[in-house]
Amino acid sequence: MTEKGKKSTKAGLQGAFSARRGDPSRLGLSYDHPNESALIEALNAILTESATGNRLLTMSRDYKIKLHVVKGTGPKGYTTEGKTLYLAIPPTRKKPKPVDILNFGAGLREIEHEIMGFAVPAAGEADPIEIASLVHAKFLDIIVHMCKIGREMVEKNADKAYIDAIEDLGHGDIYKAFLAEMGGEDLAEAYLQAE
Amino acid sequence: MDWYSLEQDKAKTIIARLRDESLPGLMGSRVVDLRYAKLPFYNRFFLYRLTNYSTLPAFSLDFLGDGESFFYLDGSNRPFSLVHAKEPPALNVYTVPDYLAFYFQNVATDEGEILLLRDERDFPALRSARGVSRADVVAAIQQTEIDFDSEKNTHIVTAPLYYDGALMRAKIEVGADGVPNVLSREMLYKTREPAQAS
Repeated sequence: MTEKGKKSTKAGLQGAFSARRGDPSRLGLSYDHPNESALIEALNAILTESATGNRLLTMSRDYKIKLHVVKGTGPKGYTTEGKTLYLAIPPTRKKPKPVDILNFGAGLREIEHEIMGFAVPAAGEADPIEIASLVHAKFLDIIVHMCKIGREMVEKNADKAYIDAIEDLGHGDIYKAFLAEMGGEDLAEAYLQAE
Repeated sequence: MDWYSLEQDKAKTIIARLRDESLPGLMGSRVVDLRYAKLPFYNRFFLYRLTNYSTLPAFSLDFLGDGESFFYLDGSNRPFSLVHAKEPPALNVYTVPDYLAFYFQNVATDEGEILLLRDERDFPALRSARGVSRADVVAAIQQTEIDFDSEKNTHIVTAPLYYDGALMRAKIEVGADGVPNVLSREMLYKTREPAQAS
């Protein structure tokens, strides 16, 4: 995983020295996380402990995926654009929590979808029913990857905090279906009930 | 919460204002939508939500704004301080529960996530929670009490909180500055074993 590191080479002066950021009208518009470097280091180190996470990290290195940690709250803590992943973590947090590790893995899987060509067509480019099916298939696959990472972390560390995080994200029933090794249709049913 | 769309030109202008050139994908160049909602405890300031639909689930960034100034709700108390310097929150017995729920939803404490429950749907893991039923949660919400101390100009709200895997009844004080202070917490239901420190 590449740190955001030298973005200044690409975008000119940034941070406190940026003319735009020095603008008083941008007083409350800072997205940079004060502990970004430490969090990125810890996110990589912890996700490696999961076999699924380790595979996603290898993929991210191979494809030179960039990670940015920004300030933010809320359970839906990631988004991607091309080969860049943005993780939102509260500004007071110095070490990642299980929910951050799960979101990290989920975001990497989302990017892997793009790389594999498993993308959702833009509205108007395909039948709406087909788009909806693809959206749900992608989302279920991402949640299942969160479940895999969660289970592997529990097995490794005997720490059920990952299960609690999956439940807090509202995916508890899907996790139970995943543990019971239910097939695709049963998982989809659990997903439809939960979402 | 009722969300309203902005006129296209106005939305474009605000999105350009909120965008950070060094983080181009954060605001999603592909599918972005900006909406706003009225908050009962502010007159001038509205909640703006910028949603990027390019990933699953959709990713949102929330701001408090009055059309001129915008403050990103970044998980700290800072945006609230900046807004309250321009417009103190209008707190009364009707608005204070909404204010506290909104505040806790948007400010991460050192102790972790705190959710003030006004509705059973505010409890994210109720479906999988052990040792507490939907009826227990509804009953706890119905026992919410709001008092006003006119001498100190503070509201005291006694309401259920979901915190660290437990449903608690908490007494929270909030003054004119809008900074809440949890005075006491009492365990109602433990919905799961405490997680190990991680």
